[in-house]
Amino acid sequence: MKNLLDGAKYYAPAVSLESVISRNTMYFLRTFFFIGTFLSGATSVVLVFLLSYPHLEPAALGLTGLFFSLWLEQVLLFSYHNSFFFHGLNSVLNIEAGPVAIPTYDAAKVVLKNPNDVTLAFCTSSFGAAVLLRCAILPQTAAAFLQEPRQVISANSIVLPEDRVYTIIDLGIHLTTHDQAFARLLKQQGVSFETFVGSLRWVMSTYHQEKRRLRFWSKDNLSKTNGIGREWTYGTAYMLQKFSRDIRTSAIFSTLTNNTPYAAEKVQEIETALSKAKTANVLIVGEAGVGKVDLIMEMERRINNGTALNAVLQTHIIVLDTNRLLASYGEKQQLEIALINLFDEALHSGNIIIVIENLSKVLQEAESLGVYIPELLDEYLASLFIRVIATDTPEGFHSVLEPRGGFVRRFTEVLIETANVSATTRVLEGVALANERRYNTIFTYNSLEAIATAADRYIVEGVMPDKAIKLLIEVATKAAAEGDDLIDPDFVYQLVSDKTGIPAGPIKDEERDLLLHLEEKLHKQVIGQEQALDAIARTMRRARAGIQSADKPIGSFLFLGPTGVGKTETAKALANIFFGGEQNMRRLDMSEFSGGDALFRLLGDAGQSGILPDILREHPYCVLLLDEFEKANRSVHDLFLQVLDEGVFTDGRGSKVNARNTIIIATSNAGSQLIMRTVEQRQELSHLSESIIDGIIRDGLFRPELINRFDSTIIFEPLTLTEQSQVAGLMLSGLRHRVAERGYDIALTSDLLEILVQKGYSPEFGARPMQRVLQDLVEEKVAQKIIAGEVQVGDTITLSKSDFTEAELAV
Amino acid sequence: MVFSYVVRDYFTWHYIRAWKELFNVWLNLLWFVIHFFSIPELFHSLFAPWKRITEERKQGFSFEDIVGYIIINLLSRLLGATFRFTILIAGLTLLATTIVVGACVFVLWLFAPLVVIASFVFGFSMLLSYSTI
Repeated sequence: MKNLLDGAKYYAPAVSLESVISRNTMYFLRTFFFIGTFLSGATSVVLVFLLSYPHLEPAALGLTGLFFSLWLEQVLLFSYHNSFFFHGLNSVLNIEAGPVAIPTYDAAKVVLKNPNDVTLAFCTSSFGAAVLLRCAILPQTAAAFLQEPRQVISANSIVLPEDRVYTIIDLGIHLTTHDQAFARLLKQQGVSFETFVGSLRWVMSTYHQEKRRLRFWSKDNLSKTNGIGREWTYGTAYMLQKFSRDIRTSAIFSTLTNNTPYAAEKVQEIETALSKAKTANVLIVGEAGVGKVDLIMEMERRINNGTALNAVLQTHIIVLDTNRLLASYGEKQQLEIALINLFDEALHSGNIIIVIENLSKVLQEAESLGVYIPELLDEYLASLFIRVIATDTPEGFHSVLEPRGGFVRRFTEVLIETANVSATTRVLEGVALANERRYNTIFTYNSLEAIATAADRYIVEGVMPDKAIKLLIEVATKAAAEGDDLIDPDFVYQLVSDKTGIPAGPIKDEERDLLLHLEEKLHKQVIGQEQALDAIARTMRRARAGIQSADKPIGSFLFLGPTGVGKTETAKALANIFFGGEQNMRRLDMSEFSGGDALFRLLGDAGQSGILPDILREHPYCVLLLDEFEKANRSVHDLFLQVLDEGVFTDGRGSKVNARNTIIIATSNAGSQLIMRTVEQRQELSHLSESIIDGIIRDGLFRPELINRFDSTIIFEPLTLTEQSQVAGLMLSGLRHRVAERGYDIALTSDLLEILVQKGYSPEFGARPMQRVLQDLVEEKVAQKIIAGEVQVGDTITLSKSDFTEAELAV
Repeated sequence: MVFSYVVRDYFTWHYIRAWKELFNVWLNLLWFVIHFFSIPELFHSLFAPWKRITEERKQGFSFEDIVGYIIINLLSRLLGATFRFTILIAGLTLLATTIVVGACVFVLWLFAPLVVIASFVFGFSMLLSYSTI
């Protein structure tokens, strides 16, 4: 078993050489001596043979000899250094199996600097410093850490793996697992193991790709050039060329362009479908921005370097510019002839793969001109000699293509899933590097994770990784404008909070205060319901602390209880506190969705958008109040099983709708009788909540799995007389506020309070009758006084029992 | 110290390990020439019609049609063969050159350190002789 120091010694002479003369200097000297050789050689020829100055011959020849000697020496030295510098690179890049049980040149260079203390060697190396900076650990913090007394790890205690090359990534991981002081530093700086490894991988893979580019003589670099005459056996499609455009104009350069396992699997799927003997057409279905064209580009790359399947090796990919085609041929007959000519050409050429983007859109636009593409092209699509790759969104696929069953059967479908947070973070690594140069700023790895997480969680429009890329560019632009040169997660979350209006990322002071005192805030708007409000506050704190899954709505509650006890008021209070106003509470009366067409009306179909998707698209950050939820159709309950569980659902058009930024509250009067009885018998509701829920399930109002999907089932008690008089006080304050807007004041007398409570008190219907009394009696009296001119603007209206008739006061 | 250390290792590399690496680079370049000039593909399709430009036969017998068919197809094939042959010749020439140059590099490699010293001594002595003139 070989240790790291032994392995590193293999590179020691080359590392020593580089310490004396850097690679850049070697490159400069080589070029300089070459130019010297050339110029002095040319001068010798001119002087001696053309200008006949034989006496200068020894000097010119001497210089040529010297320059040549030095140039050749540099060539040999550089080749020698290259041999070590690129040793094992193919293995690191997964191009081919390489040497084993040996470190890379870079790992050896780091270790040899300080073999007795590899942590010191790592932290002071350029790679280590870059990795630490990506983890938001500043050089001065690292320097202070290195000066502290700590247990050192020597390179000869690290055993090299027997099956692969040992890289700096391995060294970094070794430090986190074996150097306790180093692990403590990371912990103190709030850097998780995953973030550290992600940063390591990011820094090193960028460097390895740069190294790969430098090695121009390698087969993978040489294969990037297209061969001459490869297509001479096939026909030329002049018209197709005219209506084609560069594939890169549609690419978003996601992970699907790199040789990731997922991309490789999908490209393989496409190539296999294109290799079929008949109807070798592919339909790539995926959300816009997911990187569908990137896959085609990856396939083109494989065709060029000869690694694609044999059946597609000689093919030529042409992206049809359908916009230009449709704009050029605006009439039915013209367009039909043009399409037939295009496909005839492709048929004749024999090796063309036509790419049509957004097939459903093209179909619809052609149909508006009276051209039915499915009928027109059916013969070609069934042909042996023509291949088409079409792309479309799930929405277009479901609404336009699927109804044309015969046409769709001419294609093999390849589904592209939306990238998840970790795949998106990898995409962002590349995008971040490009934007760092442009905006002169540095992204920490944590900030990339924050961008991917925030885009996934809080940005509703678009799909991953596209929306994360857009967010990253926005972040970089803002950082550049504000002069921030190190972007951390706080910066990202602040921008997202400003953008969406909802708190994102770690909890800040103001929000901490709000969450810790949520019960009090709720109580200001809702009277009574101590236990219910406490339970809501607990759930919201749990959700915001991030303990709860991110793939669900912010919070979901089932409010049970009799009418008029504050269920809607609580929902309004939550909208006020979390989304900045009661206008951000959207209410759906679920009794309207009890019929057989309920789901269809709620979700919409190909021709009509649904009520629920519309609400969530227009108000992605809101409290969604589902009133009288028990009256909704069973199919609607099933829909909410999914919404509460995953936070997303698919609408009637096949598009994904995000409900993860909402607080979903379903209210129900179910179980009210039991609640009333329980309260009348003066029993504690909390002890009986289970039997209340059991009763609801027994009655078949809700299925147990639906009740379990809610974060909490909150039981609202009937209001006591005291609570009702507090409600009456709140209502009168509301009235005073409204009257004040007209320029009057109203005296809140005990008479008024008494009238409201006496006439409006109802344990069964809660505060609702009181609202009616306020409207029918009090507001009516105020209106009469204003209209009769008994009060002037600026006056205070005082109402006492004498202002009301006996009939009006009768209970 | 560093100098002697590097020089010793350099010579070990130059005369032992470098041969294999040199050979691999040579193979890569040969592969590149073959790939760039599409040599196997052009051999296989040497007499195929140029860009599939062919005349199709009409139904029924017509002398004019047969002659037109033969002439056009023959011309297309001849044109294809001419272009392919030209590229093939260029490709094969470069391939042969790469083989020969590669072999020369191997021979030169054997003597490269000596060449460095010899040309240095030569250049130095020439400059010395010039300064004494």
